[in-house]
Amino acid sequence: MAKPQSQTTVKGDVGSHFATKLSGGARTIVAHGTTAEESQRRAKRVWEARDRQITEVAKQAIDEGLRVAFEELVLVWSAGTAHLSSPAKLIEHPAYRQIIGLGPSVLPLILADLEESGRFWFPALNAITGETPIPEDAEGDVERMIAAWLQWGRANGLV
Amino acid sequence: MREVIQQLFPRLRDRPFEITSPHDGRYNCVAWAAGDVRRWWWPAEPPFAYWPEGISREESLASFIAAFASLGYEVATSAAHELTFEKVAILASNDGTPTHMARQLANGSWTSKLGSLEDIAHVDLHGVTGSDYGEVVAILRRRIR
Repeated sequence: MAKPQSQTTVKGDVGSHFATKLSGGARTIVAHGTTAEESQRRAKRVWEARDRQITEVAKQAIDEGLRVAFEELVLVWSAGTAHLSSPAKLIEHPAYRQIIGLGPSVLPLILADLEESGRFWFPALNAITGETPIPEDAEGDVERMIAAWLQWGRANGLV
Repeated sequence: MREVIQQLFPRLRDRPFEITSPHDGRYNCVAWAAGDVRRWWWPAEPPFAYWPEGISREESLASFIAAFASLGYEVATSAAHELTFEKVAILASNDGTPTHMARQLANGSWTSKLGSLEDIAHVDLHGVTGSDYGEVVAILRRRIR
């Protein structure tokens, strides 16, 4: 699991709240509080919760019901959007949003499908994990984007 | 796959078209129009898609025209084949949001990459217009080098 490598706290980015940003590896967390200490505590909790969620998913066998639900949603999403190019259109499809709503448990299924089909899972992975392992110079380079996420998945025991 | 494509684009039912590649999620219609088969082009939030540096990432016709101007294209008045120019077309939905691009082939027909699906060659632009891609809103051209 990535540890925070940098921490910054600023005042006033949302109203009068303090905001703490933790960054490390591919992850960035921002949390707010009425004091600097509170925003730092909240950011640390969110960071730890993300670690726990991913660790727990890596330990669990895939629920067969979840697998079927995922496959059904992928079928509907793919049929409705595979001919479209706009990432916004791909992401706003109800089936894609439902897949994101399945939460961290679906990560091994998404990563396996990403490896097999190369479907446009990057925003879903980002939304579920809060991480962006894609190097800046790889934007739009789908092969490198897939490789970056699979490497992240292996490092976290999800592939 | 022909049937799936004709379901998506009903106007291809009565027009000749040919599937010219396997499906490939590495590039999309805009990349294909630009001659890039390695990246997904769209004015979307990075890192999810590539867009030429310095061009607005707003999903607008102006942004598409600017991106292709950076490749040497200028706005043209006609999709008619001209021997000394290569042409691309921009399609957009009713609200003006770009949806698709196609590139003219040397014989005057057109080629489209259908999202992450196949490339097709189609005799005219009308074949891919309709509910999903909308209508042709701009033709761009650049002199063949």
